[in-house]
Amino acid sequence: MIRLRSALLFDARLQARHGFYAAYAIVSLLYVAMLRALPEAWRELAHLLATFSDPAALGFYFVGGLVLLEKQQRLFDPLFATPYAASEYVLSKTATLTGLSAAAIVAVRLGAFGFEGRWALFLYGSVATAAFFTLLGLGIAVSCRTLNGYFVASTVYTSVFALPLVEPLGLASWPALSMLPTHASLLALESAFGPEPTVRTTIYVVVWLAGWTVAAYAWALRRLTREREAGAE
Amino acid sequence: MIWLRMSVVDAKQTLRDPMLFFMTAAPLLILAALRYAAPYGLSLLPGDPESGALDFAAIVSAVALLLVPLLPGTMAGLLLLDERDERLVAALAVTPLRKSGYFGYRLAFPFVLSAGYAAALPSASGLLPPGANALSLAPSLFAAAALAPMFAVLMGALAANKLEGLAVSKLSGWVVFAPALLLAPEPAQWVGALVPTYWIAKSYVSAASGDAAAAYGWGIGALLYLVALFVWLFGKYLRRIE
Repeated sequence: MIRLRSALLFDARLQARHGFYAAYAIVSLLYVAMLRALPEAWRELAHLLATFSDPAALGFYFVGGLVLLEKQQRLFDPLFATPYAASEYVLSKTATLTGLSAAAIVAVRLGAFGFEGRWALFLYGSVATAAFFTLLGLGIAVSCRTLNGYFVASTVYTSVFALPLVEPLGLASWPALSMLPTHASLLALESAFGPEPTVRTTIYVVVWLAGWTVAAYAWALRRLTREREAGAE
Repeated sequence: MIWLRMSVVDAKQTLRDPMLFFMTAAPLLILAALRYAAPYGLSLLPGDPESGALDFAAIVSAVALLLVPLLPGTMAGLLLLDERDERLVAALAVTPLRKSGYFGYRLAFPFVLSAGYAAALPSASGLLPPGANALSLAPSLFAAAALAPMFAVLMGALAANKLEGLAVSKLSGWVVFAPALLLAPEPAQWVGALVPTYWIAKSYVSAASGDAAAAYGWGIGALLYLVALFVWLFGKYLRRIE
């Protein structure tokens, strides 16, 4: 527990030092300004699209850089020769970036809309989506060598997980999309201003996002362990 | 010659690592979205389509123009950072390529690529009035293409490593929305003049509305601003690799 706490502190400090927090403070302000400037009729949809594609997914964007820098500085092998466990590595990165995501999401919403609307499912969905995307990115990044390689490799995943966006955009609606965690994410984010979610929807969102996030954790951990074993040989 | 050889190496790498393919393909997607999706989006605009519809169309088209160099430029920036972090620049400096060749290659490619797409954009957009003077569009198209090496050098100059580079790129991408400032009332929108993309947007929208003099004025202003900014940022970047 103490190890995990120091890992969390270390990661948070590293992220602060490299300007992640400062960058997102400014990005959040820009989103608030943009949302406030938009006509009333577009504001909620724009908020949904912006939240889903940026602050909720920021872990995905940044975790690639974090992992690659550590790989390139050859910190991977000595890091895991210490009592520091792979699970702590994954948890610490995920928790810190998810925290930043959640802070940005709340800041943007409060800045643009104040306290109006529903919060519980929205917050749950934001946190779970942020954690899911961070874990997904971590799992991809461990086997990449360069940032461009990481972003190219991740387009396959991101284009699949972005598919449910066709629904709020009114382009299409396929029942199969509800298999994807991001379908649940969008429902959770929509619950902020849309009609009150039914009990069934709420259970689906809570269970489905939790299940996918746990699965992504196991997947990322396995990818990391494998990569280390391959590196050690 | 050495550029040609490097291109061949890069092209071979494209087969293994599809990054260059992305750099090349992404602006095409922007052009396609502008051609096929933007008119539909504009048709959903509230209010009278006759009043102000052209303004919106020109502004959407200007944002698309600025999006063209964003991806090639950012990818080139990430390459500069990766290669600096791996101390590859120092290694290349002692090869026949030399440092200048390295910079030229890394920065010229995204520029040429963006210039090609930028030139195709006004006709691909279908959003500009047929009367728009093609020649008066030239300064803004050229300046937009020059943004590609600018994005790259900005990341190299302001970021100490790839992590900071990612943070910088998160912020720098926002400048493509500068054309939206043109919707704000006159004195308030001038704050946009702080970013060169506002100048480019002014020039582009002026050309689209047939005001050639304003298009040249803002366009040449944008180019001068970009050159000054580039010299400053490139100097900072050089100091970081030494």
